[in-house]
Order: sequence, then C-alpha cells, then structure tokens
Amino acid sequence: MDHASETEVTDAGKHVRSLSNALQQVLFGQEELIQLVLTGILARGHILLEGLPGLGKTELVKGLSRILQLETRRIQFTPDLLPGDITGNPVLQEKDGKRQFVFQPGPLFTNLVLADEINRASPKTQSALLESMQERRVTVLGETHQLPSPFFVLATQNPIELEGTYPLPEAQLDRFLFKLEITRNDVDTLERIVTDRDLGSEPEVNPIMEATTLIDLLALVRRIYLPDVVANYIARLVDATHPGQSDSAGKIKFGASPRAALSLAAAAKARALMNERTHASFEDVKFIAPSVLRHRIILDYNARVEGLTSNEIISLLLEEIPFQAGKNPRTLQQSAPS
Amino acid sequence: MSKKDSGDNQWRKLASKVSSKINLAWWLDKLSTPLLIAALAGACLILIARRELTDFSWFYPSIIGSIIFISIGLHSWWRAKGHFESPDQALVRMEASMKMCNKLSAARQGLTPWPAVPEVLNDGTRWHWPRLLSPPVAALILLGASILLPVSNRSDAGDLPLDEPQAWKDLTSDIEALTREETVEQDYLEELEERINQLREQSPNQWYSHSSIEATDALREMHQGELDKLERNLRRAEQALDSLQENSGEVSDYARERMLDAFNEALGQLEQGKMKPNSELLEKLRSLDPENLSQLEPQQLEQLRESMRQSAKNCAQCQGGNGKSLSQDGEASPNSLDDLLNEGSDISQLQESEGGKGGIGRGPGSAPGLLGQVSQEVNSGTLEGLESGDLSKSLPGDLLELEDSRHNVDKTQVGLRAGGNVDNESEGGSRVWRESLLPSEKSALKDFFK
Repeated sequence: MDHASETEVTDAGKHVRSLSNALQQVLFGQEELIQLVLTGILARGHILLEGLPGLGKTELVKGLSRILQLETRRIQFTPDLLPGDITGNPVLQEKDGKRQFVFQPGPLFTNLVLADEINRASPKTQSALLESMQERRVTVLGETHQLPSPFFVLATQNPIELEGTYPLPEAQLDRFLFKLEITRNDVDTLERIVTDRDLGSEPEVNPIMEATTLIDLLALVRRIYLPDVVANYIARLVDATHPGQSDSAGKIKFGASPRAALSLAAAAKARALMNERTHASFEDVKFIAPSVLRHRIILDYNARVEGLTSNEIISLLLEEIPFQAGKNPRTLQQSAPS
Repeated sequence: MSKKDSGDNQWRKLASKVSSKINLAWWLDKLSTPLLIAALAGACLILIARRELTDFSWFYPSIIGSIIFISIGLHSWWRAKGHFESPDQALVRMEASMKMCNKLSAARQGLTPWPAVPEVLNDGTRWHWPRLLSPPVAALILLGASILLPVSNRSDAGDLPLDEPQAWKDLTSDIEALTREETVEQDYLEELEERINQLREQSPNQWYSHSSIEATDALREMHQGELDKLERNLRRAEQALDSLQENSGEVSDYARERMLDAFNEALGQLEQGKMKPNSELLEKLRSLDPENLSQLEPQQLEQLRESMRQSAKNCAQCQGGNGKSLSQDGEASPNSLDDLLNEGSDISQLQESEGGKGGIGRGPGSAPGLLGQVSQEVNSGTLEGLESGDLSKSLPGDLLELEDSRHNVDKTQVGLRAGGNVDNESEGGSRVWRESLLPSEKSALKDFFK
C-alpha cells in the first residue's frame, strides 16, 4: 500500500480544518472535544459522549450530520426499547399474490446514528448494537443486511440519574473508539452562548463536505504511515495496562484489549492527517491515549476505594512508558525535553 | 552532494554520537560494580603482599592488575552489549526528546525530507555524574590507600635487634661502675657478670620469658641486698671508728667496749659478706687496732674513713641500690635507727620501688578494680577497737561495730485473758523476722513490703 503524499495530506488538512471551524460555530469553547470527535470520525470509530445534560452533546452530533451532509437518525433509548425497534423488523406483506415477510429497516440503517442516553436501554437492546457497530451489518431472522457506509454511532450517556439505567457491558464499551467526557463551559464561553443563541432555536450550519469527500478522507487516513517505533510504542503502552506489566498498572484489574491497540493506531493516523502529516507520531498516540483507553481498563477495588480514576492511571502510564524501547542506563539521567 | 543527503549524513552522524554515548554509559554502568569489587580485592591483596612479601616489587602486580582490569572491561562490555543502541534507535531517541513528531523516522523511511539540524541537540539524557564517578573514584581511593598506607613488612620486625632487659643493663652498669671505682672485690663482680652472661646466652626469644624475668629479678634482688649490706656495714664501721677516735678519752669503759664491739661486728660482717670491699680497704681495716687509734696519725685515720665513706657512696649510687636518697654531700643519711628499721626489709623496698613494672614484686592477684568499680564499704555503725586482757585469745585489729538505733518493741497489750476468747490476732510468720532480725534489717524489710 502506498503511503499518503504530502500534497494529499495538505489538501485533506484543509478540509478537516474547515470542518473543525464549522463545528466550532455549533459548540463554543470545546476545541479539544471537536478535534477528538473529528479524529474519531476520520478513524471510522464510534464515539461515546458522556456529560451532564445541556452541555451540547446532541447539538454537536446534529451539527456534525448537517456539516457532513450525512443521513442521520436519532434513537432515544428508553427501558422499553426493543432490539427490533433499532434494527428493523420483518413485516408480513402481500406481494404478487403471496404473503411473505419483508424486512423493514430500522433507524440503524443510516450514516450517523445518534444513540441518545444509551445507558437507559435494556442490555438486550444495547447488545443489538454490537454487530452493527463492529461488523456494520444487521442480522434479523437469519438474514444479514449491510449498513450504509460510512456508518457511525455517536452515543451519549448521562453520568447522573443512574436509577433505572443499565451500564454498558464491557464488550460494548470496547467497540467505542473514544469515550469523551464533556466538561462544563467557562464564563466567557457561557457569555458567548447567551449572546449568540436563543433558547429553542438551532444554530444555522451550512454543509461543508459531501459524503464522498468524507469517504476519500477515510481512505486517506488508512494510507497514513505508522512508523515501526510508534507501533512499538502503542504495543508497549497497551501491554503496560495489564496488571504486573508496569508499575502504574498495579491497581488495574483488567487491561486494554488488542482492539484498543488497533484503535490507538487508527486514531493516531487520523490525528496525523488532521495535523497535515504523512506519518503518525508518538505525540499523536499520547494525545488520543486517554480517550481510547479510559473506558477499556477496569480498575480494581483498591483503586476505587482510594478514589483513583482511569484518567489518573493512564496519566501515570504515559509518564512511565518511554517513547523509545530501550531504557536508560543508571549512569545517565533524564534531561528536560527541548 | 544534495541537500537531502547532507541532512541525512548530519543526522546520522549525530545519531552515531548519541548511540556511542548511550553505549558508553551502559558499559560504565555494567563496569561499576565489578570494578569496585576488584578494587576492594586488589587493595586487600596489595596490603597482604606488602606485609608478607620481603622483596615486594610493583612490576608483577601492575601487570596482573592491568590484565584483570582489561578482563573486567571486556566482561562488562559483553554484559552491556545487550543494551547497546544502534544509530537508528538513537534517531528515535532524539526525535522523541526534541518532540519532532517522528519526522526523523519518516525521513529515514523516505517519506519526508530530512529536517534541518537544530543548533541545540537534545537526546533526552545527561550524565549522572555522582553515579558515574563514584565507583572509579572509590576504586582509586581503595587502591591508592593500599599503596600509600604505611605498612611495615613482617620480616622487618625480625631484623630489628632485640633490646635486652633493662635489669641486665643496670647490673652490667653496676659491675662497670664498681670495677672502675674498685669498690668491691673482683670475685663477686666476675661471678655476677658470669650469671648475667648465662642469661644473655639463651635465645633472644627467651629473654622476656617468665623464667628469665624471674631469674633476672632474683639476681637483681640478690645484688641489691649485697650492695645494701656492704654499704650499711661500711657506714657502721666508719661511724664506730669515728666515735672511737673522737671519744677515746671521755667515755666509760663500758661505752668504749660497745663501740669496739660495733666496729668488730661490722668488720666481721664485711669479711663474711658475699660482696666484700676491695682487698686493700679490707686489709687496712683488719690491720687496724681500734684500741690504739691514738697512735695513728689523724690524717691516716681520716683517709681511711674517707675511703670507707667513698665506698659506701659508690654502693649507694649503684643502679641496684635503686637511687637511695643521698645527703647534700653525697652521703646517705647516717641515721642508724633508719638503717635498723630498713634491715631485713629489702623485699618490701623492692615491692614499693617496682610497683606496676611487672617484676616479681608486683603482688598477687588481679589489679584493683579489674572487675569494676571497687565498692565502698558501708560502715553504718561506729567502729571501736577491742582490748583484751588475754592476748592469746585475741587478734590484733579486732573491731566491734556499735550501732545507735532503737529496738522495735512489741507494744501489744498482754494481760489476763478469758478462756476461749482471742484478744490478739495471730501475727503468723511475721514473728520470725520481728524477733530475729536487727532493727535496721527489720525497717528495711518493712520498707520493702510497704
């Protein structure tokens, strides 16, 4: 496979920059979140957005769908939602004098699915998403139906009001490329929101990119060069999340899966493209590692008692694992990076 | 050469430098512990060699040390080799520390051009000087100390002539002095010298053996006794002669007889003593008639007395005399009472004069306070000497300790008691100590059980 050229990467960078600028008109003061969401999209990943109500999660997804001119469907997850309600159901129809079941596609058959408050649906319904997220297809009554391409799931969940909710199983969490935590806005951003927005009216967003362009960008991301040393760093980083493999992993019960390593590599490539580089780097991996790993490592009881979070453990891991594979002799000491 | 090639070469040269630095650091890291161990062992061996070997030369130790150092260096290099970094790995180290977003890796792959070489290069490491210098400095200090520390060769000590015991020197000095002054008869001196020579003839290793020291002490004691005896008899004879000369016509016959007896007794002891005065003086004294001293010239008599005084002085000044106190004119005190008191107390003098010198008179038993501080005797009472009319049943120094204290009188009322009634409670075992112990002991027990 030939690697992406400087020209291709530069052109792609312009597209991504315009996307980013447009999204910043939808969501004020969340530049890093927008960068990560775009990174996730370019890496063909599904994204789980976690945050308090009213922080703009749904608005971000809706804005993204309009900018990208993608077909978007929103599914409001509730406890009584059934798997068939999202995948689709076979409906008995009479055709040519015969009565037969005809598959009626559900809301999953779209480019961008907004799974709102995904943790309110029953595990049965949540698991109905598994096949669609990983294999981008749906099987109903023995018949497999391909989902349109591109296909993204952007799910939201609320960290409070946990009564009557069903925490996502680890298997499903692992299928999300990123878990992004949306933080509250600062005063300046709030002032801007109050000034520029009216309650109940959606921001006006113009389409920036056609779906075909997005598909080209997704293909280009795959051609971004991943240096061996970066792949080695990703491997060492994921390996270090397992108990006993590093000092920082002492309080981790279960580490990240190989899918996490693949996700890191894909996201690093996507970020390299956004930064108009033909190759991924250590810095890309370090930037996206918390978003990729935080929902993939399970802390043990001691860590929970001590109040440690996944983010803190990942920070320790990133400090512990050096970029280069070899360690330093004791006659040398680490100098301040330039 | 194109710009790309020049950038390539520059970065690769820098990478080679960095990898060399890292590899050197690994080698030094692996070298430190064996170097320290070898230096410690080498220092011990050098010290032992300097101590034990008579003809110690630095040639072979230098060669052996160099071979060992080279071997350790090679072994450490072999151990460090597994950690060595190639220039390509050094490139990664540089791009990581300089936050170059892996541009060097991409350039090495041919994807991007080589970036410009920055003015300040940072490979993310710097020398840890304390860790780096401590082992070689410690090794140098160890080896330097083993070379420079003053260590005497064991054989050197054997070459040193053994100093003979001081007592022999003193006795030899006495013999020389007495021979020079012709104070005593030569036979005694020859015999004494022969005995000293016998002691000298034994092996030098035996000079300070217990038996040798005992023999030396006995010889010196004997010599000292003879010196004292000769000196005392000469003084007695001289004093008797002096009294006879001065009081020949004034004293009674009885007193004159006593003076004559004293002179004759002193002369007899001079003749019988093992150490005799020189034959000339002895002959003069023999030929002297004490009853006809008035017939002699006063000058002759004075000369005779002077020679006697001189001989006594020579005896007193001998080392064997232990520095007997002399009067201002060099004569010993003519106190005859002191002489009498000192007679027969030669050993006590020896003990006093040799206290702490390890001689035979050093006294029995252990030194005081050897097992700790000597306890103070607690004399709570008054000590009084006991006088007894019957001396056969008492010993001198019997003491009686009298104590001024009050008895604890049992004040329990005792009187007529009705039968079957118990007035006083039984005191049980307390009766034993109340009635059989001293008051002070009782009060101590009371205090203890209070």
